[in-house]
Amino acid sequence: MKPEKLGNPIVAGAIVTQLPWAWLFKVVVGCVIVYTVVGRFTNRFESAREVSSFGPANISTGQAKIKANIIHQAMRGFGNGFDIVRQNLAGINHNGWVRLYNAFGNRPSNIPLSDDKNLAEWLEMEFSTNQLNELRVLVPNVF
Amino acid sequence: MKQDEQKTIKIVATIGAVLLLGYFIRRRPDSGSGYGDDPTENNSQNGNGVVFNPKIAAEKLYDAMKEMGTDENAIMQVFQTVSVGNFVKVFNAFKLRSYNDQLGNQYNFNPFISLPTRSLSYWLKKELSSSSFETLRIKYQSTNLI
Repeated sequence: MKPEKLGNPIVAGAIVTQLPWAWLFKVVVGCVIVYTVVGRFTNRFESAREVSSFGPANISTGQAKIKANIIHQAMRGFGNGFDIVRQNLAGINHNGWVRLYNAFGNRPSNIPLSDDKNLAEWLEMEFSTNQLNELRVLVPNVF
Repeated sequence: MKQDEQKTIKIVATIGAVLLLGYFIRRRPDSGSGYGDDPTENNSQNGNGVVFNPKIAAEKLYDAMKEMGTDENAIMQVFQTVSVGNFVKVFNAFKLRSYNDQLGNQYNFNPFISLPTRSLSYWLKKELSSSSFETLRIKYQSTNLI
């Protein structure tokens, strides 16, 4: 019996060698690069802007950095450090919140392999509805 | 083959440009775009321009606390709208209301003795969990009413 068309190993080998392997390789590498760049671009931290009409922030940028680190430390690992977070959020105004939010930036989540999260996302991830309600009493209408 | 490559590059570049454009068009605006006074009301100046009615707030609190069992979420939602300055007004609007210390409500089974009257702070301390009450204390401690 005579092999025909693609069943013929000589014909199949000729088609494989004719495929533009170099071009395919470039396309795959290009796609990986675009995917990586777009992924980094879309997951990047977008800083919030202070609103001058709301009055000056009641914490400095230095204080915001310190508070951001304390809050992050409290929420990391086991437990959510509610008392510490509550103490550090108490009394900050809108522009103070903006400074704190920007100082916090995006930080690695407690959940492995998940995207980095900003402060509002961290709070919503760590605290129960009741605890969030308590925090919103202290700093209403910002998260 | 060169023409093919150029064509491919053009197509990829066009798709990339369209995606970038789409991203920038759909990008959400930065938080806070200038819409009045501080929404947190945590500035030294009180009030955010919204008319606040302390009597309504006081009645909502009373409704959440008057029966056995407390609606803590309702209470905390009311306090999300009460600035430090307005807490004094709510405290005064609540006045003194009779409270059964044993049952945590207003039922009085002794016809010969009336129930003692208590302030808003007392009601809150009795009705809320220690964590919620501590949160309110942190926020309103400067008023010396809680």
